Amino acid sequence: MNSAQQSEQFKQSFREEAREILVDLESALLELNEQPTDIELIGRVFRGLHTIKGSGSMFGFEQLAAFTHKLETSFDEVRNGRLQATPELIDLTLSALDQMRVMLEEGCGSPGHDPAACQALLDRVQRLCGTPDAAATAAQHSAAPPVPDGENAEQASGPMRTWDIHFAPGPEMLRDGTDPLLLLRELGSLGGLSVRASMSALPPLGELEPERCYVAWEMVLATAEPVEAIRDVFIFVEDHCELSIVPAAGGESVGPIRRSSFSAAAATGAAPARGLEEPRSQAGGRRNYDQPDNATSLRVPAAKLDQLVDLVGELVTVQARLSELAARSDDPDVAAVSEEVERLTSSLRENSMNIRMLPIKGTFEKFRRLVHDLARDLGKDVEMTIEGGETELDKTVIDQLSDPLMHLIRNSMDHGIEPAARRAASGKRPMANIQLSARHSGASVLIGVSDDGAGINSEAVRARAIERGLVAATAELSEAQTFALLFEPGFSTAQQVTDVSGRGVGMDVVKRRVDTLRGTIEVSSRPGVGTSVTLRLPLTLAIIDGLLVSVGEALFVLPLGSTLECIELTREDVQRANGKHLAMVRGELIPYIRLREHFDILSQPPAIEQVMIVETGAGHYGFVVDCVLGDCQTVIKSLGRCYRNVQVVSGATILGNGAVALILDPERLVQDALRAAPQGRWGEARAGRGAGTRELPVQTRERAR
Amino acid sequence: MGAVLEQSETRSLIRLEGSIDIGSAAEFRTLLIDALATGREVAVSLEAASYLDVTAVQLLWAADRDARSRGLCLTLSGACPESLRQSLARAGFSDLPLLSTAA
Repeated sequence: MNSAQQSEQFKQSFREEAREILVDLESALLELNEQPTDIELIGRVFRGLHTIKGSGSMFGFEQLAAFTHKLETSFDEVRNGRLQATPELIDLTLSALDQMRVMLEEGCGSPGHDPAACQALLDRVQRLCGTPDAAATAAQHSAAPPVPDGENAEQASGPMRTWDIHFAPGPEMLRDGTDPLLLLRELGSLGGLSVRASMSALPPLGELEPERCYVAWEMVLATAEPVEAIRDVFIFVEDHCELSIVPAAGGESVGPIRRSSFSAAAATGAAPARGLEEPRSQAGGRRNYDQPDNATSLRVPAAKLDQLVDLVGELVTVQARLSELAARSDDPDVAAVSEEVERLTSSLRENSMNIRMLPIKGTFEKFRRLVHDLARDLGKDVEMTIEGGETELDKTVIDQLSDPLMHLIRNSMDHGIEPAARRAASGKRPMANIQLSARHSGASVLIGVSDDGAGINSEAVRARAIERGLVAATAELSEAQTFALLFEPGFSTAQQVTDVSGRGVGMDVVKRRVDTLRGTIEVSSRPGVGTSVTLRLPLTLAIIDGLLVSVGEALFVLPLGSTLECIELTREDVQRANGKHLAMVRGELIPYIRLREHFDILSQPPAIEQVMIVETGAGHYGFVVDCVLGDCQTVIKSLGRCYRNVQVVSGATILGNGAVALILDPERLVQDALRAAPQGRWGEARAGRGAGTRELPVQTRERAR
Repeated sequence: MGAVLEQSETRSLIRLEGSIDIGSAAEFRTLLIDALATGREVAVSLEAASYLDVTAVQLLWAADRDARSRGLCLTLSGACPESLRQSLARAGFSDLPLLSTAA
């Protein structure tokens, strides 16, 4: 890899890290808005800005670093109690984060930032600070070489003190893209700095690893800044270096120090000793870098994970073939190896799928800003709460959730939540609530957006649908059917189009995206109480556990996660039901769908058929098949564009013997059957089983394993 | 950046140009080893160099020790630009043996 490629790789790593920090900064600022004196939050904002500034400058994002430096200065003032975290400062900082995002993506095909807007923001921040020159002066510090006589200390916060600093970078620091010389430069901006490099660890030229760092620095810093400011310089490398900061012999008397790690020696004025080195350092020597690193997580490009999952998918298919061959072979050794491979493949599949699972909290947190901004623009008082943020789902699913959630939240904010005056008049809390929630349910995850607003006026929805010709004027619609109209393209009941919503383009986007993810939408609403929209999505999109069933020659896979049990269906059972497609399971009637009839399969059914009872959003349903062949790990292969309208099938899979089985989507299959079924097929049991209702539960929920 | 080795009958001259950093460290090390292997005096020109990072300074320092152990010496050819000298001083590298020599 040449120097330019390496530099671009470091830049890309920085971009990824900075994007995450910007999300965290946004959350912290919004929380700070609620609790403006929370020291922890102020510290979090300061550290976030400091990280972006420090790393940005190291990786060549000079403009970003300079801009962030000025914001950091203002939050340093907040940290030191000289400036209040007012809503105005927080709003300005949020706008500044937007500019920082633009600067971060510059050079990646994104439009450039607006220098005039940036300057205007900084001017306003500086006016709030009340010291228009302070930030500018501080900015010069970072760019100018250190001043040996410590004249910078004029702006500093306490009495002048002298510190002995020992800094020995870990051997990998240079390879990690950190240039220690830039850290020294930053340290120099705190006051008068004298530096001496020690080359005692340098090996002979022939043994020297050119990219490894062998240098250690001994420094004396005279500064009025607190020890935290010195430590902050090393904040990103402290886990990868040996660092000690102790008051120098004969230094000034020591004032109060905020952080405890240095306070013992500082408060007693103890002699400067190497003994005060960081606990992780080995006494009298350099840290032992041969010990394993304590890193508990790794950053891996998503594409590599996708590739891993693809490979595991191929392996699962090959393993199925191996099992098939082993079953035909009489050799017990082959059977043993095949079982072992099956066991390993199964764990490998589970592990690799787990790697792709991410908590949804990060996605939810992004919307705090949207709620904050919309509440301000609409003049409404709204808080956002999160429930089940730790719920994990596949990265591919998470990536596609942002858009639908955004539209749902905008709709809630604009149409659902009433203005404060109207809320007060109806006896509601003036502060409205939007709740984002997530929880697992079988092989699905339920993502909810609920508000305590005015609810949906189903009469208005119906009237609008008739006006647009979506339904006949005489049509009788259930509540679920009425709410489903909201997701039709171009549907909007809003009296006027606002900046936020009302054009009717949002909700059909939600539906299309959820369809793509093979999910469903459920809406419930009570006038005057609120609305709740729930997206039911599959946990993963790549590999599922399935049950292989046959109908005549055809093979199908049913997702194991939604399958509850399997019962037999004899010809006598069919006759007893008087032609209705109903099975009696422990005293409960379960409607069933004959896959043979539904898919027009021309063959005679066996005398005893099997009913697979599955759980769907519309309740429990049975699917009648000829034979249950067993469970299988199923790699979902797309059927291609030609079959994209065949919604009852979510994909296909290749079996061990090379045969293709279609993977059924129970949810869609039930909806499809409900639409196609002649009146009375399911008798009374069908009544009240419209989408969104979940009555008639089967009492025993043993999984058909 | 660039590091060029010029050989003559009496000495080897390494010319450094632009920024010498980790991206060129491996190449620079090979160049130094090759130059010292000739057994002739080695001179280094920093006249066109704008920045030396830690890897470059380490290599020059180690090369100097290596040369001395063989009874040779590593000398500076021409002047060191003032800005470079200052930036090395700020990084605590004022004692870099090469800076106190002249060809």
